[in-house]
Amino acid sequence: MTRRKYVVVLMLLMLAVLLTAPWASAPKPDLAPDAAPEGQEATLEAPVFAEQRAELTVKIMQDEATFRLLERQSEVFERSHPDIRVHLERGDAADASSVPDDWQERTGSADVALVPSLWVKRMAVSGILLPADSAFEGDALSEQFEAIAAPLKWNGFMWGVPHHLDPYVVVWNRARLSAAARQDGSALTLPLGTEDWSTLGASMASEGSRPWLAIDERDPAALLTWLGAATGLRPDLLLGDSQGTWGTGSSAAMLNTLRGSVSLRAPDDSAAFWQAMAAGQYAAAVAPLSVAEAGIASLAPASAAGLSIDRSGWDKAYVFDGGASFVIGAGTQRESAAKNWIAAMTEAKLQLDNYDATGFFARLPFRL
Amino acid sequence: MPKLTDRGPQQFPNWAPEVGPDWPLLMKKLGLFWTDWRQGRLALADWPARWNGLLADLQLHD
Repeated sequence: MTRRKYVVVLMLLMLAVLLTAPWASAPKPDLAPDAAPEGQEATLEAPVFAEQRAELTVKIMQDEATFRLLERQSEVFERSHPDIRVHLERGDAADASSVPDDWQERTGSADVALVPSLWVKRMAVSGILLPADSAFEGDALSEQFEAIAAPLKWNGFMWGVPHHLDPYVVVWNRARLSAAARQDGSALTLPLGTEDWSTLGASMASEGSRPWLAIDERDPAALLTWLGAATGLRPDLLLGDSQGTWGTGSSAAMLNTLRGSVSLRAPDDSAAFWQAMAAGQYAAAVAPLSVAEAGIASLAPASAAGLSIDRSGWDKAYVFDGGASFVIGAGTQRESAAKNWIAAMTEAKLQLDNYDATGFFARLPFRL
Repeated sequence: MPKLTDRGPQQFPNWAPEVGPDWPLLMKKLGLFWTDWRQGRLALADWPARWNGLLADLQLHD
């Protein structure tokens, strides 16, 4: 072989080394599929499974009964969705109509929260939520009642998925109501007309400082419901401007009978309160429908017959629904799992179950 | 399951409210007005005018 041929062969060899070098220096796979011993197969699969499993933290800013109900329903959900684990935590919604300043602290790093529906728009504007349009189950999005959907809409999106509603009503003790006589001598009956409110006020004023209305003074929605009933105005517009002289109308005298230092009792679901109500301790009470219907149902039939739920406020253009909606935290890394869980918790059959469930008496499903 | 829409005059409430993002704040203020009124610091007749003043203040600070 000539010297020139040696050089050519040497150059070809060097070229071959250069071309194959990247493969030789490439990192080896951690484990070749067929190199794993039989006993290690399970441990190899486990980390992959853990990566796929979503851990959802859900904060329920509602009462204990709502929390327990969702806890049971979520357990059923987890059995059919082994890839999603749900941790429910309860936080008190101390004021259903006001967003607390420390909402983010209260909900922490929650992926999902169940909050009073009136909070939702404020939270959306704050930028702490993700849109929830795609969390609506089936055709639920197109079946929403305007009264329920409107507080959840902002900027073209839905920011909450309603869980239940619980509109406010006024409950009357008919015996005390009929003790007030109109000018023509007839007793007051429901629904009250404009002039009836001043008749009622005069009658109650004649009883001195005895409290006659049971209302939760810490609950603005209850206060607005009562002001709307007494003034005949839409309760939501009482928050607006240009309501003119409602404070001097025929209902003003009636409202003024509530003034003074007499403490007003907040209605609750205790038997003691509703027995006192039936016995005539209060002429009227403002409460969410679920509290009113459960309270009346707990009474003996003869006592219950003396109370009437006045839903005439529902004829107005707005009534405080007292409901709650699911929202999705903007910081969640598990949006898809969150939406799956919300859709499952609000699907049609569960809505009916909620309606029938003990402790949820008269809490209305958002789909009918 | 009750047919709520068949309750005649007691119909299911289904009207869109005038709900804005500032509602929670306004409702908190309403609670304060109620307390003032009950404790005799605010006359009912003065309530609407004072409320309008509050709304104007809030708009100024937007």
